[in-house]
Amino acid sequence: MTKTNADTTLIAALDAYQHFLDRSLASAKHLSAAHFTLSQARNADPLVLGHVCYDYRMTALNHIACETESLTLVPTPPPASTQTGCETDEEEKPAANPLFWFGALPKPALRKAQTEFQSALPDLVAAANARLRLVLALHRHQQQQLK
Amino acid sequence: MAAAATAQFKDRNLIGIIGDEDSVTGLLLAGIGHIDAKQAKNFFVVDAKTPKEQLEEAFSEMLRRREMAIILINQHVAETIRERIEEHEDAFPTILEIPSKDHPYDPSKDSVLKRVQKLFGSD
Repeated sequence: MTKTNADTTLIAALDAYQHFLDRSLASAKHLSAAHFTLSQARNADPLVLGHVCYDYRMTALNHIACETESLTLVPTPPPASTQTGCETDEEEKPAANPLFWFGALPKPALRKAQTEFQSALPDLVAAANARLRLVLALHRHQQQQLK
Repeated sequence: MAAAATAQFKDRNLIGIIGDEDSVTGLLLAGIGHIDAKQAKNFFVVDAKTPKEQLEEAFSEMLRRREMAIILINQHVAETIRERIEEHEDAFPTILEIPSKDHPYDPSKDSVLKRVQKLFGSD
């Protein structure tokens, strides 16, 4: 039995879906662990740990390099600024590390939460990559069916 | 046509996040938060009081931004605007549904599954 082009694109789409499912479940598991550490940080520290503390001068420390069919996580060096948000110069500089939005001396639990979320990022980008390839595979299959 | 396709993705370098405060705080700690010169944020905090219209507008705004490569959205938040998410069939920005602290990820609710199911329906 010969494989038609439609069969080929369908198989490719199904393979892409299985890969996406695997990556999604892996990233979800990693994120759940990260959420647990953040909850521990909340319990350990009476300081407010929420949007009221965000530094609204923030710039991204992790970017994406976007190609036709792939997304790559690219860490970006922080801008030249003071490590903490403390006012030492005439003009207060934003904290390069978001950890210091929540206090000048972050607790170990919060540092651990940051590490967990940072380590979850590559998994999330891998899942996003898998989804991108799935969407493209679905699109190719739809185009093949229209022929 | 090729130039237009390239322009579609070459400027996309940010990860956006729409979710509850814990999810947004955690991912901002990871260093994805960005506010540009026009004060446009790549994050949107959702709580129980956030009106659906405001959520839809925040999602639409992130879709419009040419610098968005990936949009992360808590799956329980995505459920609220499921129709809008299913309308988005483009490759970029890539939408990724993620769990929150209180709502685990359920693959059966993911929008992309419905598109895969259509493959079997149409064959």
